[in-house]
Amino acid sequence: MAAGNWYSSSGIGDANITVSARSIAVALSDSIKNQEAVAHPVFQSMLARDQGLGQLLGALGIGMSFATLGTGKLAATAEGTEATPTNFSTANIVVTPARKAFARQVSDFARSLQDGLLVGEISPTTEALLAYEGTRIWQNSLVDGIVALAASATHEIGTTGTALTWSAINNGVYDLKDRGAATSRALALVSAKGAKDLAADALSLGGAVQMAAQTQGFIASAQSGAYVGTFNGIDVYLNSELDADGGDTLGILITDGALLSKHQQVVLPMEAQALINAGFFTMEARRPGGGVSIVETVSYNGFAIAEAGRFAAIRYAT
Amino acid sequence: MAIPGSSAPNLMVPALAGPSLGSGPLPLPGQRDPWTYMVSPTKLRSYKGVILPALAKAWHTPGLHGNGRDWGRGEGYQSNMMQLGFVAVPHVMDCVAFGAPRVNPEVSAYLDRYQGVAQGRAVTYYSDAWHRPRRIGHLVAWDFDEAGWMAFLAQCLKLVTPGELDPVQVEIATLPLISAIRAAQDRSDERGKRTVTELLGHLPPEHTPDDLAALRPATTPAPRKR
Repeated sequence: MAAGNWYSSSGIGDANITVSARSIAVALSDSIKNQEAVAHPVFQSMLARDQGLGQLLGALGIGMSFATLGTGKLAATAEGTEATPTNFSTANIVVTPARKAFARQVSDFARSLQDGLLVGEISPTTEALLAYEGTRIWQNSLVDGIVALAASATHEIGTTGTALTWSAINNGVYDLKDRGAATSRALALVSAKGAKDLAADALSLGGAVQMAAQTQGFIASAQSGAYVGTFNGIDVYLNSELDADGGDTLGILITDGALLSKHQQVVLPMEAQALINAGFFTMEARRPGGGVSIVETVSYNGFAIAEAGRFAAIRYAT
Repeated sequence: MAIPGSSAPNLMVPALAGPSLGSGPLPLPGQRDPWTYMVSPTKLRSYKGVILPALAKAWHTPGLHGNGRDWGRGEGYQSNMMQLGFVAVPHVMDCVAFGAPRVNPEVSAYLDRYQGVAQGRAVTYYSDAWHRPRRIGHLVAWDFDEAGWMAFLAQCLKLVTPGELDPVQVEIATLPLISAIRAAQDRSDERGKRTVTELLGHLPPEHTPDDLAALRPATTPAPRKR
């Protein structure tokens, strides 16, 4: 099980020196769950707003101001008296995209020998393999950046050092509603431990909760991927990128508008050997010499909590 | 721009003498960037009978939550947290992890850096100093110095609350727990009783309402082992 660059005698090139016929397929990894998270409407909404903001032009980042409007009240003001204007107030967020990269190295000889061995998602060429991987890597980075924000969330659901409970989530949703943020789609990412805690608690509660239709979603399905179920209006997914804090795990609960992301689309120049331009990321092939290609996946992006009231960390004992 | 009180260690310099764990690359959970802990006088919780701060992490990752495009010390992230009343915990301070003082730390008083592999690729993983990897065969277990961690949290609290806790701070730390206990009391089964006992173990005895104090066993068991 060698690891390294893809040469004819190392890395996944080991397929060439086997004693029997062999294929090359994508290995199962728990990072596959990130694909489902990114496909959720809350993530898609964030990315749509990201693109709606357009390209950076002469600036290194973008700003978003949230103006406090509609919160005031009329005050009794006598006739002949001019009301004093109230200042606008804003909360400002800045996102500065940073360059992030990941590279693979593939030798011509390995490619020549082994392109035909590729099967599944990555067939029929090395380029397909690398494009598939580039997409996964960009998704992993996206989810990793978002869940990292839980470590500084203003609002938290759950109790440190204790298992996650149904009532903690229920109370968290009430708090979300109280902040005025429960008006759209909601997504929660928790670890398998968190989901098991929740399921064990809800399924043993008795009464209305235990018998509620949504609670039956806690009866795990082996055919629904990372999706656990929809509880209290939250689409709950398993995820493995979650951060740890002390002895706790930090899941996230996000609704539309909770996050701000910005990707700068960087079109590769004409002299570059562009493999993929997927907008959110590009893949470029370079040949520094020796019959070897380096394929670099690059994304220029940044993330921030846009509005703290739409975001909560879900804390429970690891 | 240097982070106030954190000028000494350079978090981006490769570790020269990090914790050694024998032969072969160390399996790690994945890539994890460094951070600066932030503490607030109003973000508090009760844990094992003690009121402690809920630290936030201001990641140093470029592009994240106000950070610039280049590696720094999370200045943008910290700035956002400071607007919420948080104060940076300096990377140089006298603290103890696993019984050893964190004097002249390689990375930071409260961070360690590990080089290893995750899913076949080389990664750098920053961990707080109170978690330490230990090899068991082909597995890696992470030991947790909980007492040291709690002492560190208490030190952090002193940065923003040098004296006695204000009653409002006590309320912030205990009220959610008391609510959770009362919710668990509504369950009539054994699970409910276990939850009450577990949560009571976190509530400081001196701030436990009388009706809940009566529920405490003569010796409250420690919260369920994680």
